[in-house]
Amino acid sequence: MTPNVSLQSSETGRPATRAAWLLFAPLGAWLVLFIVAPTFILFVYSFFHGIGVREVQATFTPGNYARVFGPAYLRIFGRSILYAGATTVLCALIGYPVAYYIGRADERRRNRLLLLVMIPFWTSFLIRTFAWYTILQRQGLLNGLLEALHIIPTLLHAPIELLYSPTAVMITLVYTYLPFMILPIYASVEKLDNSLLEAASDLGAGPMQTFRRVTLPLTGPGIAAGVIMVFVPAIAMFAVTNLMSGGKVRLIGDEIEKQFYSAGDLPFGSALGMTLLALFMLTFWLATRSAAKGK
Amino acid sequence: MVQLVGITKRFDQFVAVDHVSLKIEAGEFLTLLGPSGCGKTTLLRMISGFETPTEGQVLLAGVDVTALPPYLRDVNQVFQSYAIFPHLNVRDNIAFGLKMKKIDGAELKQRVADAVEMVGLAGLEQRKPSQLSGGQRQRVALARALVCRPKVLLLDEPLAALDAKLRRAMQIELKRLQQQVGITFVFVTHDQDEAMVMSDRIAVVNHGKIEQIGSATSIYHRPATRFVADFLGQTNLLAAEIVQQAGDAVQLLLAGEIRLTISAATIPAGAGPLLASIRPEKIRISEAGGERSLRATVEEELFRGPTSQITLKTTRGQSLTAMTANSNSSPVPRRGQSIFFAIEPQDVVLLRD
Repeated sequence: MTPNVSLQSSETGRPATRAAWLLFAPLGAWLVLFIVAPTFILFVYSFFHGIGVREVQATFTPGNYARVFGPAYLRIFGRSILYAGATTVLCALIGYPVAYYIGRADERRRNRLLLLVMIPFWTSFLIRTFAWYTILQRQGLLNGLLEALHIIPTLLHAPIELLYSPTAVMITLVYTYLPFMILPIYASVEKLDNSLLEAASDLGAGPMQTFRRVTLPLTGPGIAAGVIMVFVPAIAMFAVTNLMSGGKVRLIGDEIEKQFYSAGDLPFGSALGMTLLALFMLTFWLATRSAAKGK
Repeated sequence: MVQLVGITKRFDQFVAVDHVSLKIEAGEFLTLLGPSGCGKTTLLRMISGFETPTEGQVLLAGVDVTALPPYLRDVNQVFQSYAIFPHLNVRDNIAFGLKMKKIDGAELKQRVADAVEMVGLAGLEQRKPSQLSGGQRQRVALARALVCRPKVLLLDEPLAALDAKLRRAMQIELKRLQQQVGITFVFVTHDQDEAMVMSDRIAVVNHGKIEQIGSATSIYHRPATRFVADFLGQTNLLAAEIVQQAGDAVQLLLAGEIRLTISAATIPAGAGPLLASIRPEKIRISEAGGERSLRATVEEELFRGPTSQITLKTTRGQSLTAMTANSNSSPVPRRGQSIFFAIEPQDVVLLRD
């Protein structure tokens, strides 16, 4: 009886707060258990000494970070940023026109096109990557098509060697993350009020001016969201890059995986992970800040 | 200033505008008045260039602009939704059109400042649209268009979203502004009061055609069609029969019981059945009968402040709406009361249905 009375009589909002906490509890527990705690463990480990394969001595050292910021690993970080950056730019360049076209189409068409964008999500990411593997390999679909069209051997002398090259890595990355660019931009284009475009035209702005001064600033938040959703996961991509490049392109994700599995240097792997996390947060901060400026 | 020559606009099978020809004079305030879906907005959008006519031409200051896109036409529009750029502040919204015309420096500053002053937005230049009230946004839209000094300003129901009091104030302000700047205004509305208050001329649009065009008084007092009589103000529409004709004098019978003698010149040409339109305020009611007055019963009376609207039922069962001014102290007839009414021949407008 007592809790019931307190719920009804109180107008201070305290029982409601208690209810809110109760509702939040499952999510809170999940966040603590799977996000906060592991991150904290990584953070602590990153300052330990690695003394053997998966063996750790719990004494403080900044040495792992000194190694991370040494030339060898900075180069890998730089390469990862380059690949992720190029992926983001290509996704934006390809994704923006696509998202714009879908966003301005009439409703029936729009839903069909959106479905097409989302269909790849129905199969496993790994399977889709292997599909590219079979398309790009020497005896693969692409070269087969080129031969069927007699482009090989007339225009090109030999089958093109796409697999096991940086190009293959870029194709895979752009292919994988393109929908993550298209969808947020689509959402902002779809909200774009047509009368604003008409107003710009009415005030003397040609199509290019209208795009630059109205469409682009108003879809800026969509682009910023797309940049975060592509750049952040792309920079941490691993295994697939290794597969598509035949081990030629090693990115930071591959390196972290190596430290935890084959090398077994847990503290150093943790330091790499923490640095990557800092990079994520920097990206996020930059993207949201530029989106806020655009508004 | 604007000339529409045989304009037709079809959307698939639907004819939105049907062979409209219209000449709008320089400095005129012309209103396109009609119910929603009548084609008035489509007509406006063909002047601004957002729609291309299926047939016909749009001339602007004598030049054929039919094929020109909106950004190359010397007209500006105030949109129903205002269409203020949400990412720009008041100043940059107003300066947008001037920047597109490559006007900058001192002239840009001066013209923007003048426009801000003219619409009474001084002090709000740095505000974002989200920080403005509906009325203020409306002023931004107006200033943004006027600052370009267009040949013609097109206004698409710009006051529809404002509350009644602000709307009435803006009607007067817009009219004053138009006289001040001397720019041709083409105004679209479905609100007949608004049209009458503001316009030099009103074009009543229905089913994609202009039913009648003229000053507010001429259209109100001499509607040419049943639609115009009914749409602009309230009216009583009664079936009319010619009973007898002797020279110019024609004897009419309205609704089978009201006898009137009118001049033959007031009978419109055509073949359709004759209708008489009588405005409610023209029906005189009195407690004591007089010459030519008829008996009726008060069915209903609605008090409307300055006027009262009275529904009468004649002895033969015809309903009539009358309006009396509440300016004098004479008592308003009560429901069920038996009274007399009279209609003067000069207050009857004959139409062909």
